Amino acid sequence: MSLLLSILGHHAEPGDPVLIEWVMHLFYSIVSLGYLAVIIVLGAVIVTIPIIIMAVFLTQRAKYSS
Amino acid sequence: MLQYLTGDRRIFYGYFVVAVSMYALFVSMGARNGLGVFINPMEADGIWQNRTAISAVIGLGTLVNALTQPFLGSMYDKYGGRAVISASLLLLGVSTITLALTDSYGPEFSVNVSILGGLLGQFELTNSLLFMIIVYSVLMSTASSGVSLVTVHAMLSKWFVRNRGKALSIATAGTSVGGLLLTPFSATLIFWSEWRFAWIALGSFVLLLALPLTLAILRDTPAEVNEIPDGDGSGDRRSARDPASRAVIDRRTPLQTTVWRDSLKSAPFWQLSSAYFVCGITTIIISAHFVPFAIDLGVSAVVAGFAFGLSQGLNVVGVIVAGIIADIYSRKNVLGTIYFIRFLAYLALVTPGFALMLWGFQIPPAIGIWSFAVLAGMSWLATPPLTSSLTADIYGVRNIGTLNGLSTMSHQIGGALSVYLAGVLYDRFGAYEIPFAIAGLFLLGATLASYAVNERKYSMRYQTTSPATAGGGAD
Repeated sequence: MSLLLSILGHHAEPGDPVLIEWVMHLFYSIVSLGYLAVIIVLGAVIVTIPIIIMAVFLTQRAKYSS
Repeated sequence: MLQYLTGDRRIFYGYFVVAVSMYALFVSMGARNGLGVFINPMEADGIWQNRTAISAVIGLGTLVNALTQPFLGSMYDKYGGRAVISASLLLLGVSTITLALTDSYGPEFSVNVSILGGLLGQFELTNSLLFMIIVYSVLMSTASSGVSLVTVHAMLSKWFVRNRGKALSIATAGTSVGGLLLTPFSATLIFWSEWRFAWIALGSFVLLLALPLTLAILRDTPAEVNEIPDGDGSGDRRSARDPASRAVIDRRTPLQTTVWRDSLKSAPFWQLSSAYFVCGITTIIISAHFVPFAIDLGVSAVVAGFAFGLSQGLNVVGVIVAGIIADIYSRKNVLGTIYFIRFLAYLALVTPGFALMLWGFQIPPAIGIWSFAVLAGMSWLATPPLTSSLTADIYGVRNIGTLNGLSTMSHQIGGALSVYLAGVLYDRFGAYEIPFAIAGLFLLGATLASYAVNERKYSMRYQTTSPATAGGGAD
């Protein structure tokens, strides 16, 4: 890879694929779940957060009328 | 908590703004920054021919992201956070899903691109790559500037004054949590299915979860829901119409200006921006050179991966703890101390190498890596919210988007320069200890620059009366 492009490439926030590979290898060795189970658990967390925020907000919404 | 849900008491609306901001940052980081997870599978599908090609896409995206930060910041100042963040989420979500169409769109063509006669690289510009440049480098990177620490910090600065450090820090933690959850999620989804499906999933999180949440809940100022900053006076809550509340809202600082350019004429902006420039140097240099450095030291992939993961986890703890402390003590002292802790992290990183080079004394390199992971992890993410808090404390919130955008651009420029210079110094000396030591010394400068900010004189926190404005009249 040329120098300038490697600078710009590395400067970008997207993680280094080698480092991601290392971290993922470690992740699977610790978690020891199947792919589908990991997807379901993490997906559930990602989806649940906004649902909780919205649910709490809806219980409060009427109290913010000016 | 139950009485808040069932009784008359209400939760300060600003906490919802924090929660939504945190989630918006969380999914937006996963969408745009997740590209690292996609590089190997997309490369295996022949989307690009070599790493120079994808580096060009990412590099251009980073450039666009850095340069659009002040622009999106000024858009925030003009149109407000709800409009800018919602529009940016819409663009981000659509462009993320669109990436699933890469290589199945447009007529096939291939042009050899040679930059400066090949000195700066060559790659095949194909229809797939052009598609990625338009979607990722331009659209997604611009949208990311609109859902960024710049706009979120600017908006939260209007909601919080006393608890500004805490609020901004909690929202900032969303970026790290996003990385911790969405990176393994995307990677596993790719293993289980394929990369196109993962792009669609990430874009759907943005469009179906973050965007509706933002539209439903985000409000630009406390006055829109008849609140005052920090929700002071809980219970029999004071309203924005109350004279005592107006006194809080209308507080002025000596450097508060009408025109953002006037802020550039005063020392605190440059003290904070120069320290933030060093922040960019010292964070981005590691993300670029951590892997080759660890390989050079002979540290195993397991140890390096674990240390990196640990530092990412500690980011969350570090940023929130720093925010809490910064609301109690002087914010510039907390910021200076964070830079000093990061200096100690760099010291730990280079000590094994220098001990061997200078004195022939062997320290296991893993000790340096682990010490660095703990110290750096605690200080990695804590600087942005404190820099934004101090900027808002000193310059007020009228032009806060533009000012945050400018300091973030300096952060990104510092990072780009550091990666380049570290590569040059590595080629010259054959070791990373030299560039890392220089980066560490810069941190001492950032520490001193932060401590030198005259917070007591300029910050809103220390103003008891409304002083005359110095640089252009009242806000």
